[in-house]
Amino acid sequence: MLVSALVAGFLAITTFAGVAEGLGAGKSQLTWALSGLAIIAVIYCAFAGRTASRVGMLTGGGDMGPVLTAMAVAASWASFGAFTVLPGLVYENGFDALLPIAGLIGGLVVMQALVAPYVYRSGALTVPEFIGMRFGPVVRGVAALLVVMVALPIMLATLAIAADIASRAYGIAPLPAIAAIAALTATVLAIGGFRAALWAGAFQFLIILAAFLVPLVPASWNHFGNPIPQIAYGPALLEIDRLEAKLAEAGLVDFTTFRPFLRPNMDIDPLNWGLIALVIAAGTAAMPQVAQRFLAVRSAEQSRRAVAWTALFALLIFAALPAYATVFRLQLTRLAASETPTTDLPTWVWNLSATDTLRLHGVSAGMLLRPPPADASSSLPPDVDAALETAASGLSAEPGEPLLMHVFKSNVLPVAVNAAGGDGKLTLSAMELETDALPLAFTSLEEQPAIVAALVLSGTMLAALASLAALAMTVASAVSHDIVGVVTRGRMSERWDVFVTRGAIVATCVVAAVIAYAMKGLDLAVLMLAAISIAAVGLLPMLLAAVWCRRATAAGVLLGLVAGLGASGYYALGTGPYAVTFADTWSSLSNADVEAVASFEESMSVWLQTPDDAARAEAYETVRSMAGGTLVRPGVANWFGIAPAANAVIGLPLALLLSVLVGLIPRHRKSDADDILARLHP
Amino acid sequence: MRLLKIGIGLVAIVAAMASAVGWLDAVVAFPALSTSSAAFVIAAGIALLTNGILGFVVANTADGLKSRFAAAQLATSTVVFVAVVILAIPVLNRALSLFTIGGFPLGYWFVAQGAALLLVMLAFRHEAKTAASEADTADARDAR
Repeated sequence: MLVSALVAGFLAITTFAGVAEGLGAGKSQLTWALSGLAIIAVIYCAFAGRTASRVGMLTGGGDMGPVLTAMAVAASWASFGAFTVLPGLVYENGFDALLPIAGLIGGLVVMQALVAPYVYRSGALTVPEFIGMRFGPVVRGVAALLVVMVALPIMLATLAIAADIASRAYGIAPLPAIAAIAALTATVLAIGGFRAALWAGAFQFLIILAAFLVPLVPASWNHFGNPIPQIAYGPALLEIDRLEAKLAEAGLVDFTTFRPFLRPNMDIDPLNWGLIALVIAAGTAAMPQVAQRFLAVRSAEQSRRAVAWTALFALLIFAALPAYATVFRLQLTRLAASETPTTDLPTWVWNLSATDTLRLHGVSAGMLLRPPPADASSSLPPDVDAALETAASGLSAEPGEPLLMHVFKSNVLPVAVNAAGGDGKLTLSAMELETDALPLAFTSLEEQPAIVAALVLSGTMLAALASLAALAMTVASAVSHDIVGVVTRGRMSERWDVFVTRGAIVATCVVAAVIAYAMKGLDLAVLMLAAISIAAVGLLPMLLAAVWCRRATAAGVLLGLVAGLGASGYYALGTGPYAVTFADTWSSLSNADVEAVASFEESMSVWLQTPDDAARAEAYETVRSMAGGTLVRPGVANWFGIAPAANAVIGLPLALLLSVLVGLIPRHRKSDADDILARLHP
Repeated sequence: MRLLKIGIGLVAIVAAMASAVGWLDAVVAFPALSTSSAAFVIAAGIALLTNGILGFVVANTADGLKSRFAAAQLATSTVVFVAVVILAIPVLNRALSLFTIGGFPLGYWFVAQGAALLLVMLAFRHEAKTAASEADTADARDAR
């Protein structure tokens, strides 16, 4: 009821703000006002869910409804990637980049079938505690470390990206942006742990859903005559396909970087497509920040229902996600196909250029206000670089958009067009779109009112906060309840436990903020894949053994963990930095074709015979790139054609097999597994 | 029915493996499956095989353990079905893309929405079937 009232209130205020915009309120004022309101509402929701009990802090209290819980989980698990990385990946890579959708939702179904209700029935407050119930304190401690290894990297990447977006959108420096986001996360969690995050999460999900869909509805209506974006964009796909074929036939695309939008398996072969999606599903099934939140409901049956609702809510967002990428691709392809001269471009091009979201021949109007880092600008021709610098130095600190665009169009763009040597008509390869946060840029593309842009920005920030709250609480509970709990042998009073948890929350947020600031350029997609692999190989076999294998023992589970992580790590390193040695050692298991092997061997011999150090290093780089391939496409160094990103396919079965086989060794000590399993499977 | 599931499952697994390593075309004129297609057929075969075997186990188990095996049967069926749906996406894409649905090439629609929709339906079905199975178990326990 409270959540519904807050959402209705927020949307009513958004509507009033829209009216205020019509009366002359500025974009910056609207953005600050709406974001401020959203944050106040989140803190109010968190305050409504405040608690000082251990169960409330760590699980959410065990009295939440399944739909409310599902909304909070969907807000924290699915939404931030949908606002940031995923639409950009789909825009750039088309079909191939859609694989996380099936993997993430499939993982929820696996979690529902194999993990969530059983963790609930055990009565444990955290995933490591549940594992510890079956396998003792040592395995519990190891599981807690694994939870930190899974949740912390995702938290760092989320924090870094959210701070970057906030810094650009609100015009504040990166350090205060990171500090503010970390402080907000810590505040929400310190009020009431997972319980506060759940109450706030339900509100956040509704605003996130509105922010995700509101820009798409009018765009769908305008472009396709259908207001439901999830089902409207089909005809645009066929038009993109037709236009891309026309551009390719005319030789107007750069074939080294061009990826046809509908063509499957351009970068990932069908086998690895399936394997990586399966790995994402396996990792999702064991994600602690998701699994632990289903402990908030009233029964195991409700935890199953909550997972199903989470999958449905995630689908609402994921089904609309390709529409963002499609509309962007359609507009840019149409522009390239129309061969419009750069002197006669539509307004949306200048809108995107002003925010440095779209660069034409490597330059944008936004670069006049915020020069790119030195390494990025050095890739420009010297005369373009000089023109940019001269134009920027002639502008005041806040020149206003008309003056900015005038200077860009007359002093910078013509120089860049000349340097590119074209005929002045814009080609697809001359347009470079910044794909970090496509939904935010979408409002500029569609020339939508500032209030819609402010709503999308609020939605993005709420998604970041929801995600960070779940991750920070998971790390903090693993540290305070499991690692400290194992060290103190569970002798802490409830009051002290809650105090330590609050301290761990603050410490986690501070540490994450410091690392995220120090390590710039974190790649959310790569960190997510690494975390998912660790969850799939490390946590999933432990959980499956705990729930389903009566004879599984601590020794077997630990041996399985070491072997599984060792095998996956060996494969990831062997197909990455040590690919040359790996290719040489395991050539019999590689599926590389004869030609690839022959050219690899030829490059090897060139490298070995090169005496000069510099030339030798260059020759080695060639050999390494042939051996290693990319994250999703194996090079010569591989086992049976498995891509490095799918390394969990090797570690997971091995870990599971060893966990079961070692348990079959006869032993004399009495096990209490039967009592626990009787509770899990009544 | 259970025997049929086990039989078809076994045949699918063996045939897909034989085809993937090139043995099948020596026996019959059958086009060799790609590795991804073989993986999909093997997953589907495992789905049928495990469902059939666990069906037998559930039917022939004493009441005390019946619920545990019934839960295992439901869970494994669901998990293997997830794997089949995921592996079907790249394998069936080309064939599905010959058709369109609401303006979408069917192959693209399946990966962008169809597979996820199928998985969400599976989640709700699993929830309903497990709830029914647990209610049956509770009734049986009460009757005893």
